[in-house]
Amino acid sequence: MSDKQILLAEDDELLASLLTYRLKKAGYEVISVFDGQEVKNQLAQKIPDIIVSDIMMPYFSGIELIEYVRNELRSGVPIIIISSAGNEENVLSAFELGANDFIAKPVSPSELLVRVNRELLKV
Amino acid sequence: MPTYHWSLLSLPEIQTDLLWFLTMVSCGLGLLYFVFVFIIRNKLSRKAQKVAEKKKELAPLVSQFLFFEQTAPVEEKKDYLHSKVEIRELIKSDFNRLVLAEILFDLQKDVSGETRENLYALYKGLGLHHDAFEKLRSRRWEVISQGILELTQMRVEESYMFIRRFINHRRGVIRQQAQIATVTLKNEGIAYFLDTCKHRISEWQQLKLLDVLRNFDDFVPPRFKIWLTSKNKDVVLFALRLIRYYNQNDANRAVIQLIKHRNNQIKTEAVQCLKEFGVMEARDTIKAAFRKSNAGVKIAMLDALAEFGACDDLAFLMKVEHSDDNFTVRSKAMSAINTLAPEKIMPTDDIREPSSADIAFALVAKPEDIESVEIHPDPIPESKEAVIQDNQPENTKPDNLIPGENEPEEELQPEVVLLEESESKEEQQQDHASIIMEEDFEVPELKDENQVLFDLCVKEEFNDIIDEAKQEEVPQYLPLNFLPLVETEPEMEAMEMENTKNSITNAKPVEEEEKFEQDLNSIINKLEMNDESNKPKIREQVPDFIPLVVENQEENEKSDVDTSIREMEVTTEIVFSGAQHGDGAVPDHNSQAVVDLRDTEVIAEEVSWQQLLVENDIDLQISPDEEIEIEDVQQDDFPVFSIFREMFRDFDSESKLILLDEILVVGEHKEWCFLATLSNDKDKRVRKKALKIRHELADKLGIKLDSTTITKESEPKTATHNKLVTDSRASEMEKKLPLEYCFFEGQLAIYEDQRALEPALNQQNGSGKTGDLPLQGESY
Repeated sequence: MSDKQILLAEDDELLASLLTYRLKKAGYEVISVFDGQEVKNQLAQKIPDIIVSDIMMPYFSGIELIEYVRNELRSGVPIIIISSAGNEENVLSAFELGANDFIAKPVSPSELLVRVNRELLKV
Repeated sequence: MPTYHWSLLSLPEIQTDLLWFLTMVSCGLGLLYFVFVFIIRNKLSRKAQKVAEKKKELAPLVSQFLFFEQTAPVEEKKDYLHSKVEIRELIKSDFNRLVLAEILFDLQKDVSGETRENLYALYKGLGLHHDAFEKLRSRRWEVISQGILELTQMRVEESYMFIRRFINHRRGVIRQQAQIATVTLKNEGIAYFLDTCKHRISEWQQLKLLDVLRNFDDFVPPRFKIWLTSKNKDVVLFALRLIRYYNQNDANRAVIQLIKHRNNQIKTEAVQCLKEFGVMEARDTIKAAFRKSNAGVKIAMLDALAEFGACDDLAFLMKVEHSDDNFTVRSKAMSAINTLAPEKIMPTDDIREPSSADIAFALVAKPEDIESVEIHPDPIPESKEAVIQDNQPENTKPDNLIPGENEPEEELQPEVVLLEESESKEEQQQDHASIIMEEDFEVPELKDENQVLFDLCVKEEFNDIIDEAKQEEVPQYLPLNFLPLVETEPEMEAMEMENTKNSITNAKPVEEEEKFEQDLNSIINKLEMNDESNKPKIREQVPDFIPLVVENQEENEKSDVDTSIREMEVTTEIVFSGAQHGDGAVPDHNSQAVVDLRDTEVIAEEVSWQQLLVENDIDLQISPDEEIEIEDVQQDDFPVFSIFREMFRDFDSESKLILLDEILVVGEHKEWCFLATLSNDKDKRVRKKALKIRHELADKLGIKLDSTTITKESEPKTATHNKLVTDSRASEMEKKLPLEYCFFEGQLAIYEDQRALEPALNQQNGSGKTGDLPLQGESY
């Protein structure tokens, strides 16, 4: 499990830090980025095993990220979306574009870990 | 003229030193302000940067505390202990405590589950809530509010006692914050709040409080009825809403009492509460409190009565519907009445009753009805709608319709009832002609709206013509040649012919004819018995314009009458059907329909008219040859419209004479027909010239005047013919005859004006010609 790499895209640094800590503690290698541009740069270098992304991000939203990964990179990497509660429209768009899973804020780190594990097991 | 001294107009002395001083002061203050803003901004930025850096530094530490597990390995436990020592050193600094509090406060919004509980525990474990308590002691309202919010969000239940005293704080922000905190921190907080709240509770605040209560997992709501007696009307209102939300229907009596409350908002809420619980006992109280309520409350009350009211409330509702000043209330009362007693009040305003034409049109839309009539060999359908169905144009049938595979006949019944009930006899008579017009002169291409317009136009035109005919001295027959000549398509014509054949096959004309003859014979016998003195006179009134009478004069009287009746039917058939069918012995499809369309009253009139003919011994026999000829002429000439008709209506005699010359040059068959009507012109010269032109035009067009026609024209009009119908009877006939029989009037030429002209014409021509009475087949 330790060799799995997770790209965590979250603009809230505190939450990103918390989730990173939790995922690292679970044995994953976590690359934490804070905006969409960093995500693109990171994806240009290497495609991770799974992407965990917030929908609302500066420069490059989670929806655009999914579209970029699926249509331009032609990658089937699992993508888990983090979204605020009540943002149903974006979530549906994300699923239509190819997101694999969705988790609502406030996030339970334990729940996120379970979902990440499950998606990685599918690969 | 006033004079001014220059000394008084001199400018005041400017103290430049003072101006320079003021300028320098202003510039100094501006500079100071900008420096101050710069310093403050830098300080805040540095602080924010410092906090951000500190957050980055402390965030992993916080994460370590949050995700620490007792089952962790020893190495991790050692790290945890080191971190604990480290953080204890850190929280000695106010700034670090502040940053830690901020981190935890922000994180609690983004995390849930076990992590959040750990976070609350960490917050209290680090003693950060003491700082929040300190904030509550502040004099600044925003600090107090911040402290209350922090303690509430971090679920510090110990703060409940400290916070609840702010429920009635003079500042609204603190008050509202304290109210939410009180309700949030402990389950009994709502009771304390409702007990002690003195101030107004806004709608938004009530919603927020309700949201807090709703999100409690283990909340046991108190019996809110105890706050229905509160002195604070907002507490009563909120209690009512809570009662409704938690379905606490054990307080119905208290809620019913609140219908009498002076506050309209409480009354409305109470009524809505009772409506939701369906408390029927509240009906009398509602009705009693109705009059002194405002419109909003009244509507709520009517809504409640509509929900659980009974039939004995209808009188009250009717009274409200009639007497209340407010339109909305009246409308709501009507709605309540209709809810309690459906269709008690029927719509009356702006309701347009369908005319017989509309109903006929609706019946036309059912093509299967036409088939049903054709299938049943009933020669004289008694019901009016059957006649209308019979008269439907074939082109109203949809193409995909398969006869006999449509709706059952029972479905026709409601329409029959509708038709019979909706139409009075007067309406039937009034619309009788229009129905026939629509049926005989249908325009298949018209859409629904155009159809309506067409109906209206036809009716208006028809009325105008009737009025004109009454005013004119010349022949009073109705010139229907303004109507468009409808050319049926060959396919449709073939279908009509086929249908007619079917109807002819299915009909039993011989039996009907015999029956009719019997009836007429009995009428004639009665007449002869009652009025023997008129008999010779009647004999003299045999019209000589019908040639076959001359041929059959030898026959006995009875056979004359029988034959005339038979021929009269044939004539009727020819006129109405447009002579499309050859067998004159059998009533044709359309004429049958017209006969069927009459109600009993019209039939009675027709009988009187037939009786009149019999009285005058009018023989309408036509030879078969002439019959065919008449049919041909009918087919060719009907309807005929000449452009000269309009001109001759208004022009003077000189102009008419000039126009007659033009008619000879450009005239056609229709002008030839039109010239016949000029025999009634006032001016003798016009009459004479018209006769001449007509003959010349006939030669030009190659119209052969057959022997019978010549005979008729050559035969002088007898005095008996002039006395064909007396004045009184003529006017009576005009009144009595249905419009469709106006064709007959024209054919029989039973107008006195025409008769008055005949001697003059006879005298002029010297040939004893009768002039140009409209002959059979020469329709107008």
